[in-house]
Amino acid sequence: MPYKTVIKFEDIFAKKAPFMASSIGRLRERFGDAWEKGLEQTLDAVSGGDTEKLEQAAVGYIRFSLETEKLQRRFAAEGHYLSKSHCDTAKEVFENPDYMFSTYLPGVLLLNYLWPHEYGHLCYFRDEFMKLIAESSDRRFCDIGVGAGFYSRLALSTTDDVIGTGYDISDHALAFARQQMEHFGFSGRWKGENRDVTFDVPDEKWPFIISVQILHLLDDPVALLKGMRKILAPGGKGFISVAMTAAEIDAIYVYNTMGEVREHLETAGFRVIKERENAAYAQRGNDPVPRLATFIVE
Amino acid sequence: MSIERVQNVFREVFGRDDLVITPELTARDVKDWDSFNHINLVIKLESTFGIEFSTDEIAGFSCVGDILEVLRKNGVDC
Repeated sequence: MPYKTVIKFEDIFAKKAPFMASSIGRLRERFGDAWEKGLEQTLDAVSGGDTEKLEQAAVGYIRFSLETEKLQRRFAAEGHYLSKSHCDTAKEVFENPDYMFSTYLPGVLLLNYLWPHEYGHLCYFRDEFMKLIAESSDRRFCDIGVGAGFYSRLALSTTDDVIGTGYDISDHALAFARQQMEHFGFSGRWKGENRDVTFDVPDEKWPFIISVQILHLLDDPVALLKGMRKILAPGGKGFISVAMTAAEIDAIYVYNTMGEVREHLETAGFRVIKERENAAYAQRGNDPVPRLATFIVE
Repeated sequence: MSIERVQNVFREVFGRDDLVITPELTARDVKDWDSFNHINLVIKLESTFGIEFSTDEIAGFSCVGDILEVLRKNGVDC
């Protein structure tokens, strides 16, 4: 089935970044129709059918992706991430509307389909965690670190009675996420709130909590995990993932192994039910490979 | 001539001693010019000429001519 927006997006890639153009075809071949349909929906949500907005999103993604790749080489050479503290990244990234809307948010949204290991992470969420939400009678979730709103949107698509709350420290991220929810018709079932859960733990408890690739953006990941443990209702489940040895613009805490993440989860009082690790690509020489550590916990 | 040094960088990154660069050359014309090697190219050009490209410049390199133009802006005679 031809996906018109994906084809337009591919054309933009071919003009703006020919060195990336072949990646779409390779991903289409590898992941098939479900992948392409998901990308089409996401591109439509970000562009609203406007070619200029689609081009802006493509350029934002290209910029984000190249910047991340360059940071990764620097990390390989220096052994530490560029950012020093969460306070610094908050100012430079999360509170910077130009960077957030032009680069960061389109980047973190589209990588869900354009980075193979991120798509693997998405499939794990859909196959394992959305299944748990669907099987539950209480389908409320809390998404900590909403970002572009992608995982809140996926969770809301499980069934039409799922209700979600999203927390983020960036008003720009929350505005972008709200726009996504509106596009998919989920506004009535989702609310976003500016709150740092590490320091301001909500009173409400949820049967499902989601935290996608947030812990490594913090100075003290265990402090947030302890807050998350407090808001997980008895018998509830959490989907918590972390980027390991992945030098993103906002990354601070270097996780090297699944064991290090598991230890932090257990220190905060979680019990791991399932876990999965996936790498961005095969090892090239001795350079660290970006990997995702994903845990389903209770 | 710096243009020869630029060409040598391309030859080293793509492992092709016979590669001849022209301003019109794009990633479609060179095998293995993907995003990974695009960054290899950028890093090698930066170290060869002692400059640092901005992210916008790197994202705007759609052909060799774009790269040469930015190198010239950075004072490289090519």
